[in-house]
Amino acid sequence: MKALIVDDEPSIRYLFSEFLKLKGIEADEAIDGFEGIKKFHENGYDLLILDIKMGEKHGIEVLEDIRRQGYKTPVIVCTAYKHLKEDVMIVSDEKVAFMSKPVDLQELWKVIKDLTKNGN
Amino acid sequence: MDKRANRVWEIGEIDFFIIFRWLLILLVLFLTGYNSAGWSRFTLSYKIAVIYVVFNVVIRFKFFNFLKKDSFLFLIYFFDIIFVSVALYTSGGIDQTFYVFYFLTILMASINSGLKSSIPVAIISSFIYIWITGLSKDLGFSLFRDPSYLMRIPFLFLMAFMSGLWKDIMDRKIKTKEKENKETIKKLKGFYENVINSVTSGIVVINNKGEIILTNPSYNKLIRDGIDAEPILEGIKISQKKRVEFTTSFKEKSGRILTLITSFLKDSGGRINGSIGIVSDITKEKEMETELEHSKHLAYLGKMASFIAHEIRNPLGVIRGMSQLIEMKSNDGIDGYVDKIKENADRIDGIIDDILDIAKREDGKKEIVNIAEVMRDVISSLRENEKYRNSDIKLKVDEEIIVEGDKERLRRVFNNIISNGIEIKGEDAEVRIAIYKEKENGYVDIKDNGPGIPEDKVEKIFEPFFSTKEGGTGLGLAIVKKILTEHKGKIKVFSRLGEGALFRVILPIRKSKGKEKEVQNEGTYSR
Repeated sequence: MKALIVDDEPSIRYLFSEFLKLKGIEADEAIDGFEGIKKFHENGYDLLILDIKMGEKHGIEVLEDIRRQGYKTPVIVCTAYKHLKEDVMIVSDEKVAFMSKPVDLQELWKVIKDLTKNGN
Repeated sequence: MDKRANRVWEIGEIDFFIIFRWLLILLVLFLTGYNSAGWSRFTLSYKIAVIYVVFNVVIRFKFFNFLKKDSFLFLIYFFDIIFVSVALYTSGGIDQTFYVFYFLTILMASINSGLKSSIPVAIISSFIYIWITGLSKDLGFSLFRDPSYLMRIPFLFLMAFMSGLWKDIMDRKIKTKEKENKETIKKLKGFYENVINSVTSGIVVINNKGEIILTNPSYNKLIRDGIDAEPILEGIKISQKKRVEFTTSFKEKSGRILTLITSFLKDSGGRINGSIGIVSDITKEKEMETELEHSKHLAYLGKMASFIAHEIRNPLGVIRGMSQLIEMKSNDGIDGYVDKIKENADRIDGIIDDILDIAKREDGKKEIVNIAEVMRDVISSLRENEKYRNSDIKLKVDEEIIVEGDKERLRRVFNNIISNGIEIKGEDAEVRIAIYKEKENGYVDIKDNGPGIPEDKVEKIFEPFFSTKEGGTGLGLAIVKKILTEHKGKIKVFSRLGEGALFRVILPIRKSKGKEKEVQNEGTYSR
């Protein structure tokens, strides 16, 4: 399984990729929405972890883009702003999960298992 | 008031009268004395004059007050006429033109009392003149055959009439002017009285002895409403003593905030005759000012909150996550350490939640909320929490209250107040909650058995970042106040040191649009 972490914070990317590697998931990183979409198209992933507030293109836009293009890839949206949950809910479906920062890794793992249990 | 005191030239008039009389005496003295015997001192005329001078001095200095009486004045005119006549007769100058001395007496009478004196004086003068002419040895009444002598009598009357009339006209003019002045003064007085009585600030004036000489209705109302006058008067006296005008505000016994402006009461010559104190109750304004400060504070917090949320949560997440990674990768029994890191990271996260909460703008969410239900919910979730499990919380619902608002936010209000009460007490915490209704408001009384709040801190506990609790962020009660304000509610605190604290939440009851069933409970405490 391959996952893409899109976050403008290097240490968050590092934390998530270390964790995912520990759980046997190959992890890739992108620093903003543009790079995220580019990498997504180039490599294809089984899971996306998106931060909402990023410099160039934010997480919700990335989610909207890939859904418009027909990809049903599971997406986890993370943010430090809990009130943005409602915004995420508007564009969400059963393959989208919302997590507020700070993210508990055990919780994250539960969510990942939940989103990917039926396979893609 | 003395009627005569109103006369414009009162004292001047009498002095004028006296001067006139000196003039009269001097003239008579000079003319008759000289005429009969040159400058010899012992002629009868001189003797009469000396007697008359003494008589005048006595009147001036002994019977000054009698000069104000018409009857006394009339007596004096009469004596004057006699004096003039005797002087003329003894000097043998009755056939001379000395009769003009009668004019002086007539003039005096006119100046003093107008026609009503001058005409009688003229009549008496005429009679005496005719009489002493008749007594005259050589010519007697035959003098009157000459029309120039006879003509003198109408002249006396003409003089009396003209001068008396002139005086009466002047008097009337003065009276009219006085009346006008009085009316103007009355109008002005009324105007100033209206101004003083209409001012909403209390006005109190004291004299130099410190006695109150004037208060306006607003001041009287303040005193009637139970405001202590002592510090106000004390302030004015200090201003008077130190010769400084100042503005000050202070808290009065009943807790109201007053401002006092002192100024000196000066007369037209600039002399200080007393002091004026202007007192206003500015409690409401101060409250509004505090509210404004409070909301400014919140606006500032709002900006900060957004920054904190993002900038702290990310590194915090990394710290927390990394500690979890360490835990996962190591099996050296470091679980306890990692738990501590996680616990503290969560605590920071809780604080961020509070800050965001307080900075959150009212979203206008309106749902029908049953306060008793919310309260039961809060209590049961508190009981699930290990921290509050051993506390004794009892709820008494007299009447269910239904309000309109955000259920989740109201939950937070009660959760914050109750958990605060328990945390501050620690062990053996007891919380008693009562829900009841009064008129259009729902009341929730939450009483704890904690150490109470010092009186000087009661007002501050709702300010953000103010905390009396060890380890408290000072946001819990600030959030409470904010949420209640959003719901058009209020919170009041009653507390004394050592006696616990009672928090009274007041919320406007939802106005039912149809007939809603009101649920009544038996009103006993239940666990």
